[in-house]
Amino acid sequence: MEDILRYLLSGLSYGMLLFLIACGLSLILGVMGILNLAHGSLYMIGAYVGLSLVQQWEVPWLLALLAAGAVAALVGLIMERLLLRRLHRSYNQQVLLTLGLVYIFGNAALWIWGSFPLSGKPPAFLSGSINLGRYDFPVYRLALLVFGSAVAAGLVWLQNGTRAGAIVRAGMHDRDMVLALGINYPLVCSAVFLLGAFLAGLAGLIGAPLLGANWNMAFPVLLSAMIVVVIGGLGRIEGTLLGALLIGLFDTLGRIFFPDLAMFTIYAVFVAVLLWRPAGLLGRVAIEDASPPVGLRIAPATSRSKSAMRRYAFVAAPAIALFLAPWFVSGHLLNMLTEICIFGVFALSHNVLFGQTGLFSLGHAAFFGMGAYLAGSLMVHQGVTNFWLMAWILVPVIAAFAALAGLVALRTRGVYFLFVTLAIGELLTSVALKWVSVTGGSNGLYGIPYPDVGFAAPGAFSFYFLVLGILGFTAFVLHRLSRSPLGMALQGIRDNERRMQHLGYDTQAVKLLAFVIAGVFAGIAGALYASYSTTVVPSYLGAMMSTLVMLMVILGGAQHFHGPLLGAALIIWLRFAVGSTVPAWWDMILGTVFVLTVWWLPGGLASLESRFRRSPR
Amino acid sequence: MKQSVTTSQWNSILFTISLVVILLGGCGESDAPESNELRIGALVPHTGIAASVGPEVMRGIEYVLKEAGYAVDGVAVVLIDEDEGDNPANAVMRVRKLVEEDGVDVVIGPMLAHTSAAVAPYLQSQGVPHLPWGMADSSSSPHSVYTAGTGKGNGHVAGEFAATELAAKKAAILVMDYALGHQMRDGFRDGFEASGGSVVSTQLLPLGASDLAPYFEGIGEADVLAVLMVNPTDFAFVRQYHEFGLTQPVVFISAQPQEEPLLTQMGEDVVGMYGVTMYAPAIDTAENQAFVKRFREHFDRDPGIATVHAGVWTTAMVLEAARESGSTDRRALSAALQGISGFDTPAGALSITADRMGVHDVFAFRAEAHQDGVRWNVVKRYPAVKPAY
Repeated sequence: MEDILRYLLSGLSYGMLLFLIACGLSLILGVMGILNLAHGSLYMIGAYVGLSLVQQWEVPWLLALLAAGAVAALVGLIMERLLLRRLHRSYNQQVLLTLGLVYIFGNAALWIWGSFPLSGKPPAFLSGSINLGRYDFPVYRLALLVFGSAVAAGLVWLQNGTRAGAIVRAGMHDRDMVLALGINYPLVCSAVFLLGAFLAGLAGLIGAPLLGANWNMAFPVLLSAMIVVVIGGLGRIEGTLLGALLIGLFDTLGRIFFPDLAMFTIYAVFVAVLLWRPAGLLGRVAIEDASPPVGLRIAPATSRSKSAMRRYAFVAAPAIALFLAPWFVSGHLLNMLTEICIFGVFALSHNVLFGQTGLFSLGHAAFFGMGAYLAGSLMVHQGVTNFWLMAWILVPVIAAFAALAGLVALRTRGVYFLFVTLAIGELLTSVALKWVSVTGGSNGLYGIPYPDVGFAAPGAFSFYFLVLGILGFTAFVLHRLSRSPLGMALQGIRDNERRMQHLGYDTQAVKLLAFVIAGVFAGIAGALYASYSTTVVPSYLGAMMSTLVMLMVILGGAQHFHGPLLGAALIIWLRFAVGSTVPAWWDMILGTVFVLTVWWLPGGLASLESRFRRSPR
Repeated sequence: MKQSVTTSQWNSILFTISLVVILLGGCGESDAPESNELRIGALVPHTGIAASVGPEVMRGIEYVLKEAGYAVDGVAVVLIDEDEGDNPANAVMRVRKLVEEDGVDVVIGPMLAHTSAAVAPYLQSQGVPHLPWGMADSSSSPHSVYTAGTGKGNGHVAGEFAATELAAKKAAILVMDYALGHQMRDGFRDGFEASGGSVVSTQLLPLGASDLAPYFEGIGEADVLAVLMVNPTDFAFVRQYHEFGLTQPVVFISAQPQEEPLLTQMGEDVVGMYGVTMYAPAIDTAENQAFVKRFREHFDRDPGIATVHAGVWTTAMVLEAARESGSTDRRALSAALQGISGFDTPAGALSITADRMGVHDVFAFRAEAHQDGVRWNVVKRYPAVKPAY
């Protein structure tokens, strides 16, 4: 009996820590419609500041707790005022910008606090344990339950029992009406952001005895918080509390009773809940992206007006340069061009979803990674090295998986779609980590050779021409698609899905088709990448890879067909250049590119070219 | 109208060509390699999950080169540092740059198992010897020399130590769920059972795990706890071990991730726990104490495990191979590296087996509180431990 009580207390206390981490995110997303992926960074800042105050300056723990919250709140306020305010309900821009901040804050923390993690201790008045059966149980975890309950009660009271809460709830449903009533709603929003960031900072020090502090922690913390928020449902603190406690219990009990399946428990619960209740357990607002994706406000009409000669010149110049490159550049640079072309295919495929259909997926790397694993497995385990044979096997498998993933993901919309696609990628990452006999686990599959292409002996040279050919083929097919009736339907859905439904289109089926087409081309890019890197590892499937390709698309310009290619070229080149000179700055530079793209170049590099061409001479 | 179309064409072409020129030109060409130089490429992580390891290893490499005056038998030594990251594709890209543009004769690194596996085929095709720190594997190049041997060898010693020195009969194993963890688990189990013990439970922790409470429930009736943990899970483990009132002695099957600055961070929670690995500054030999003193003069800090093993040993071996072969030719260096035997290090002699694995001393340490923090102190020395498979 005592053992069962201990299991439950372990799960509930872990769940309460998840609640403390997630409640700020829930407030900010539910109330303001701001998807702050830098919430994990605010948590990290709170943890570092709090631990530094306690350990280096011997500040009393409670005072350090307030200071940790205050510093995180200050950073949050600056973020909200300077960067996020104008991005209301535009999730793609928010995601890109706040993800950039995750890289920047992480790199800054590495410089300030170093690469070794900091460890936290409970304050003296909460240390010690009580006996509970076979083992003791820490007093601090019991205190977590009490403190978390108090925070939850306070937030519920604030939301439901005060005038400020009434304004917040009204604003969630109809922001314009609140503004029309003369209420200073932006001020309310700033206050909510401040409170959310403060809570993240508090959670940082409170969670330190369990999670410590390290520069790389923001994304895992964020992932847990997002799952909790979505399961509970946006817009209700009670939902976040319920989601956190459920995840805490499922995770803990899963690890005790089904340790081999523990990595999947959370994602299984996540997907099951969203299939059952797409707005979460207690969600009462279905928030949708109120604006078209960043960079898509300009109709892609300019290329129509180009003369045939100009279009040919535009395509022929880089094509000839790329074709001749192997005879003029070193092997190292040829390597870079190969990678640019592979990511060019990947980015073009992503733009079928994002630029053409307006679907903002954070799980596109799932198809890329799956293609890489399939190709790697065929070559390493089955000895199939003929690329064309592999393609025959790979295309239907990826298409079937993309259709299945699309059926699940397309049940949701807006920010939920974003979360579900993210979860699909992370779920596949977990599968890759656990299915060691096929995937090689965390070490991945390695020793993957160049494929046999048929027209020349396998090697870097023939592989480059294979990749270049596939890039050309992908560009041709997807360009034709964009001008086809299907492509027009996709763009119609992007611009106004409801109107397309009224016109008689089965928009779900059209979107599913886009999902499959994009998935297949991403899978082919992944198969090429497996040979390029000679290895396939689980991170190829995950959110970081998805956000990288998203950045390429937006940086290059999603509204221009060739934009994703420009973005891929610039990011890969940047990694080459920075990696050879100041590698320790890479995260800071990449993060800055994220932020600057949203801030100054929402139309992408390709729009610069258009602007240049249109400028008066 | 005609004028504007022509201008647009030129704009498009110029824009594209400029982009290609910028992309190709911006990658930077390194200095042309001189034939009378020994060029060493270091491929270590400066970014990603193992970013803390890179600077540690670089200090070890630089220490040896400074002591040697950046020369070996009158031949200048050039060091080129590249970031391994934690991405195999990036590692392949970097190693190609090291070989094709920088013209390196030997590569020290990579430090991680998957990046090491990724670069091995390319280095094999180029005949470039390399000294990775990651575990050995069948896919490695015939020019790969694994000074660390295999994780299983270290694990075997830990198992033997737990059964004989700690007189444990039943062990619970708790290791991170990745390749090295699996090797260590197997090695510990073999060593422990060969010495008369039995393993009562084995649990795999996902990387990044922070709440250890569920895993404590699966320990069972063990009288020793054998763990392999990386940061930050090790921090959570030592704290929660006490909070949940566990009393079994703890052996870190490999204490490589638990460098002494981290032990000091863990504080009194880690005091009394054991760790098995290849080096700690406290090894009480005249050679080691002289080395530690000299290292402090250079860097104002103690050398860590990664510094010594992946930086100092490997670089010293490369210089020795260059001396021995009298050449900077890649194949001659590779042969000389593979022929190293009885090479003196601050932690004892190091030899390379026919299958290119390091045979070296392994130490069992105990974490003890000192004036300046918590340190590993030697409990037992296991000489010339052979790699196990």
